[in-house]
Amino acid sequence: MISGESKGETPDQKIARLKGEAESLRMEYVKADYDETNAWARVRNFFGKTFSPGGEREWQEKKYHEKQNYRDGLYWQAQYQNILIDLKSAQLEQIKRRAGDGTGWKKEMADMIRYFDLDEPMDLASARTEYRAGKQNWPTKVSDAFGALGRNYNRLSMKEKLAIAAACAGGTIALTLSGGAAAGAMAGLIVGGKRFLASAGLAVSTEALLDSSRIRYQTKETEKEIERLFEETPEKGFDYLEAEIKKKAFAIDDRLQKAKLTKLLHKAGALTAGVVIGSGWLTQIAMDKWGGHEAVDRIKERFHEMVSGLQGIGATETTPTSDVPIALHDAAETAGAAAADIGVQAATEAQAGLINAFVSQEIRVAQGDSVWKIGGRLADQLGLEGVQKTYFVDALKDKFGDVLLQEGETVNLAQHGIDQKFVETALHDARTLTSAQSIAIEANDARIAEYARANPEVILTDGVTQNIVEAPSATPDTFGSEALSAETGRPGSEAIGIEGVARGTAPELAALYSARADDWYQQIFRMENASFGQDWMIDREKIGGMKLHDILQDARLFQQGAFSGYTTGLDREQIINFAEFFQGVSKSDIGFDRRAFFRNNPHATVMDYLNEVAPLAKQGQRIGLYTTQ
Amino acid sequence: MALDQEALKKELVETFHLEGLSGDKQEALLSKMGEALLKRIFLETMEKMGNEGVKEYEALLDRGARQEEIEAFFENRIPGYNVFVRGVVAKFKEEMEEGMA
Repeated sequence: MISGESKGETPDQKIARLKGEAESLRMEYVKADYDETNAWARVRNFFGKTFSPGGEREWQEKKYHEKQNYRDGLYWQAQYQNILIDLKSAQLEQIKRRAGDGTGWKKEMADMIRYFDLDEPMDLASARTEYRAGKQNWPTKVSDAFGALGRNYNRLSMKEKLAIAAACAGGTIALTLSGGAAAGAMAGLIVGGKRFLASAGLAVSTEALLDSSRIRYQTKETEKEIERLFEETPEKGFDYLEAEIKKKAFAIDDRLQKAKLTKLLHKAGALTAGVVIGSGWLTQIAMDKWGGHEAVDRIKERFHEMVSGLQGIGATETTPTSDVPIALHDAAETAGAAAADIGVQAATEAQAGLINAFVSQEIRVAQGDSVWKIGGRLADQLGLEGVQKTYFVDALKDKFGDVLLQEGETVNLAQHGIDQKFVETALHDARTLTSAQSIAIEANDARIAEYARANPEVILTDGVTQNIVEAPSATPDTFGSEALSAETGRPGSEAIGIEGVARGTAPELAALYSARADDWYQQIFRMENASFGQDWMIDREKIGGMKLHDILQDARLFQQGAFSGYTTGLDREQIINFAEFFQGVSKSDIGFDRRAFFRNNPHATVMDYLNEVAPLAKQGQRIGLYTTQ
Repeated sequence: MALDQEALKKELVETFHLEGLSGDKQEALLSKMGEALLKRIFLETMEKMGNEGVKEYEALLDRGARQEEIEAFFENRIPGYNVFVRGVVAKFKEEMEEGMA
């Protein structure tokens, strides 16, 4: 089984891991959301074509990246919300487990639900503030002041913090009042670390936070119902709570899907009109003022008709063939540019029919067929690639069992528990893999491939692959590129990269790509207060010579919350940075053939990898968070 | 005027409807809320003042200005600063509500 989760994880470890993932995904979502929607981006979009120093081509590239950012926003929003649901479920499970102890679990549960509803939105709002602040072009002293604001605030006593909360949000206690300006002055002054609150004025004029009758009503109703059911039996109370959580989960998903659809349609409409009008901003005005939204609503209706039609196509097929995805593709194309994104959504809807037909058919096993290959065919039809495909097929294989199929026998997947529901769940999981999970799968793939090359006579059964994946990673004798040369019989890492680039290219291009790889290296590994062995400059040779699969393995261990077993000795931030870059390369359209690279470079180092990728990226292209020289 | 911590906490707990939570969670939320709001107010204030205003604020920090001076400076730079802060809080509140499941 290949998964980002650790088998021996305790409930506390699981919750800690999910909280960590929620924190990361929250920030990714905030970044993508901010980058997509900030006002400056709109202005740049409006004037970009005229004033872009790179002219038309650069403008087109910017447009492309903005579109990517927009999609990233939806992607990270979905990921973020999914992890919140997982976290909430894990917390509920933990409380349920404690129920037998009779230690106030009922109150704890009510606490958890209310706290979660208040705490997470606050964290999200804080993350937005932090990210926006990081984007400001403030003088260093003011930037430092913003950083000091949080530190100094946290040094205050609870009494002083309460006073600030009251000053910001208002109250009815009769204290010395001087209005909201006092709160602003507090923010402006607390950066100096002054203890000003003994005489601070407190404001009551501001609107009370969360003073929402809707929220209050919903919360009280839920609590009343919980109270009532728990008085009957604890089981009823638990059932109700679980149902509430599921309802919330579906509500999130439903809202997200609706918002996504509307957003996609509006965006698509704007882009189409933009070709004629020539400006994203102006087009937005057109959308708002000149009836664009009504047009979008009409497209929406067409979309629903199209979905119905596509579902019909899938349902009438008895044996899935390549015609189905082609039909989906053709149908999507006919809807034009505005429907390109919608087609993806439509295809998702239509997959139900395709999956049903595939799992319920009688499959005759051909020579060389395996569960893996059959699962792979379904994955191909569903449009899965790379790690998503690996994860999906692995899930099917786990369910089916470690069985060698015989030529000529007939297999029905549904009879082995691989029914429509199971496949849809596996498909959803595959499409919502976290970065860390994807990286873990990549690392495992690399190790399995390496083993298979070295041991061609061994049949890769589940047991064998499990052993490969779980085996401790070999610790390199040394990290220096010279020593690696001796170990692998190949040139040193730096020499590989530069020679590889230089071969058949102009020397200036080689220098450019080498500088680009160096720049990425710096962006990934530079730390202000690096510990011994982690300094991006002093330890450059060591870090650059680290084996790729070791650093990916360390990323996997971090993701699992492991306390030991790390190989590289790098800081968590450096490992995560590299993992994000690695994931960004895999997701990008630069044409990097990861499998071929691992096949040809089983002992590839960090610099081998960066040098290999460098010639493929375009100037100015962003790979994840990393810029390209 | 001396602050009565318990009375203040009770007031805020009622204002934010945190009555059902345990004491430590109430305090944790109120503490976090204060920090989040302060930072947001600071950010919005600096954005609103623009580069020139930020430079002047930097100078005030350098010479260790008192709260009243900073308050007057903000009011001068952003007329109706009281209303401005209220708007920031209202926007923050909207964000929180959007985030509610």
